[in-house]
Amino acid sequence: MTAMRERPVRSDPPGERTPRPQVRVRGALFDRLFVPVVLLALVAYLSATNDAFFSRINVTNVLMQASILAIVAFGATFVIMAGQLDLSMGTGSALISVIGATVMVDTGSVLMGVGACLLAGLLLGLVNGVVVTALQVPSFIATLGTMIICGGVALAMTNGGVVSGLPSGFREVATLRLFGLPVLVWGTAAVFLLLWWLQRQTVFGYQVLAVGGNAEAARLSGISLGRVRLLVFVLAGLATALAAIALLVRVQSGQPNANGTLALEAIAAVVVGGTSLNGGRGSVVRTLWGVLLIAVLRNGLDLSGISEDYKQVVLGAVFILAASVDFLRRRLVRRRVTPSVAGPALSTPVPPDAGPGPAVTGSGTVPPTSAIAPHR
Amino acid sequence: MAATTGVPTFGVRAAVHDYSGVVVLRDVDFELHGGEIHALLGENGSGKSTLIKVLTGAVRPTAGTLYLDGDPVAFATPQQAQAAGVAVVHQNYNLFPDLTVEKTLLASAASTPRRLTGLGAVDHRAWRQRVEQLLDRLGVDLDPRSPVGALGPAERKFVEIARAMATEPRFLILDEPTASLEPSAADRVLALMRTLRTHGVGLAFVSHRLDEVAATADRVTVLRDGARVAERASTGLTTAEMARLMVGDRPQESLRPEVPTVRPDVLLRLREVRCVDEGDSFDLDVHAGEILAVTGLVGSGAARFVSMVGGDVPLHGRAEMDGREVRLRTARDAQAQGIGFIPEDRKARGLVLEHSCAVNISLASLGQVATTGRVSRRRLLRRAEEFRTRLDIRMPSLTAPASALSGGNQQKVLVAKWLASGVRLIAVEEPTQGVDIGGRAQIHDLLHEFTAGGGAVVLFSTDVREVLGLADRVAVFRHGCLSRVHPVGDLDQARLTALTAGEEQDPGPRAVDAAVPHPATAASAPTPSSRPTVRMESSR
Repeated sequence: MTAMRERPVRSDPPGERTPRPQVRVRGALFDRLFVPVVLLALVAYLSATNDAFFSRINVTNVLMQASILAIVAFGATFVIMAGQLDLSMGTGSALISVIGATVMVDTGSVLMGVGACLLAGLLLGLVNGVVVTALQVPSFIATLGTMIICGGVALAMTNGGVVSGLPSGFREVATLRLFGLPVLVWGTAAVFLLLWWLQRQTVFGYQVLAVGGNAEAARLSGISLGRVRLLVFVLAGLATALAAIALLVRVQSGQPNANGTLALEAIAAVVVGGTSLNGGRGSVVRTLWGVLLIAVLRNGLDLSGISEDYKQVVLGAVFILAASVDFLRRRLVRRRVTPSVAGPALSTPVPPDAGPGPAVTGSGTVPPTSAIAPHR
Repeated sequence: MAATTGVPTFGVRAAVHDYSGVVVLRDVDFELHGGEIHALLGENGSGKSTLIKVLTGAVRPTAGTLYLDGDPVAFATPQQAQAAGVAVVHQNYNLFPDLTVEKTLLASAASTPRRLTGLGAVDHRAWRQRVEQLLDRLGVDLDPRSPVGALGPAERKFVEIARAMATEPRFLILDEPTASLEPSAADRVLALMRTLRTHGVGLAFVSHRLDEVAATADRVTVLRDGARVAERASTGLTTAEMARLMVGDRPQESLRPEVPTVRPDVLLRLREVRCVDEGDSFDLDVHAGEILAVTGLVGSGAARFVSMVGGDVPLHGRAEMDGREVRLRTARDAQAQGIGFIPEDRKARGLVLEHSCAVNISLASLGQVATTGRVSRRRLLRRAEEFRTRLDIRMPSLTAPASALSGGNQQKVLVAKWLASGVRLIAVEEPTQGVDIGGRAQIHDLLHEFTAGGGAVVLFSTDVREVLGLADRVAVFRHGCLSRVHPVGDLDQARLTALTAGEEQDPGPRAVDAAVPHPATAASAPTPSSRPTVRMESSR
């Protein structure tokens, strides 16, 4: 409580009141279009250098491979936008695939299996959410814990083997095609549309961004932080369940060892897409671009015949590069938005008496002022 | 100029400083001698803190010369000032709660004893001895091994002073060293300052507690509007004279056209409210259509009271809204009862800076622009446009981030947020801090408009002029408890300054709604907390 402090005697610099709308819009547009343009360039390059790239089989293949990552990444987008992390989505999806496969094999009912998957996903999300909100455990630690637990349970349930022998009806789903594309791709598209709607159109979507952007402001505006955070983890849990179902569709068996690094890849895809790891800034659409970029890149490396080991090296390097590009891009945008105003103008005003703040409280970092939120 | 030879002197001549064109220091002279305590007085915004920054190397003055023992000096950084023998103790605690006293001092030590056998590692035993010697010299009874977080507020101030004194400075500048301390703790800090004076250290300190200034200081410098209006020996200077020097003889500004009348209908009735754990409880009514200003020094409970009303921190006590008992534990509770809260730090706590103005305006009432959970972007923007026109919010566009707005316009967005959600009471902290003069008047108008429509405002402000210009009634807090509620007509600047600064009050004949102190009911053993807390004196 800082009472009887001197009022800042500073008036706002005139530059602040006369902003430049066009520049700002151009900056936002640049920010929004950066990843799609890079993706387009990569597609253009690959199709020019490799005839196989635009073949129907290859395109289907890329989309199939991207689908599981996409579903998980869409869910992770909400978690990250709310300023949290969920590491349990990878091994969680492996465990849920084992549960779903076991139920399907035991009961012979596809519906029961799918229901079991969704239930397990809901439970996983609830556990993560309750641990984070009620026990106040940082989400990194909480979901690291559930990640390890899920991996362990999955292996214990199967002794490390796969669960195969799914009902024949389920096998047929996998081969089903609509307008030339596998059902899995359409399912992924449906998840995208649903979450995009949730993010753009609902009160919940706005609240997620508000909580991630400034939890304190959201709290003082009467938004329940606990509810929003819990729901975000539940959403991630359901996305994990959907990813598990997608896995079952693709490989037709419960896989306890699958998707070990999926959660991390999903976070990478979200960040590559341009969603801020600090929360409060991002969108499912950006994640779609990020996922596609990674999928196309991986496919390009496949086509070029690089060995699997080196592929990992390249992908890791690209993640780092992409994240730093995001930083540079935002720097660039910020500079464009405020070409004439020096640092202090848009950042927190330093009242003349502020002194170096108390060491106990972290210094309030000023988020980049680049773009219009929420993002399209 | 150095007045006497032989006595160490440090000071600044004709200091001028401006922050982006706003002059905050005008030709200020300030001189400090070894072995004296020199108080620096002034209202908020009078330039005290800037002067301290100039003296300690935190800012370079636009014009003016610093001198030490008659020779001109220039400090580019606080480190240079420290090397020259000028140390500073800041108002806020700059401590690491988890470190022990000796480690805290070690972290900022210029040189530490090393052990050759330990490959040059710190010789902790030798260091402890040094710390003990230092604390002995200061006459402070502190265990070097106790963690700073477990210390009381006065002891933590001792640690900060000890840290500053570890460099053996000849001059020590203290910015409001007693601001967040209860009187007995403040007395101990002042006693330490007197001890330092006997060691020949020259001390300058800022305080708003005029009684302690009168009791402690040898000399007093008063700043007003960035200029020095007085420099004199404190002998014979009464607190009333000090208050008059601080506020000056300017005519009473009257922002309001008519004398306010307090309406009879009570909107929020508060009973047995307690601002600090072991403080007395009090009752207070907030009437519909009034602006109730709450004011007091740091640690007086005034700021805490307003954040309790706003739901920022849980209210300890009973609350009735429209005669119905309500719960005010969280911001959600408050909002459900039609209470909005505008925090002092609007950037860190009020706005989602990256998000658009439109979203920020509807942040507390997203449900109103949505049907069955689906937000209508069109309605969101239309409502933002409505408030933009109504409150004259200058924004580049409705979708521009809130960070692009000036301080005054950001504040208007926050007011709009609560107007949009239809609250009936707004609790607001320092509504015009960092707002330029034009914006200030507009925000004041907005609050008046809000109360004219039947709403109520509970305002926390340390700006005496704002309190007098805006409020219908003024609740003065002292030592963690409501002291008295005054109709604004009974007060002028000097009197209000004196009341908040702790001068004993005469029971005004027209004082209304006097505080009813309840006997302190639950007062268990004080628990050390990591935050500075203020405790009531036991006898009152």
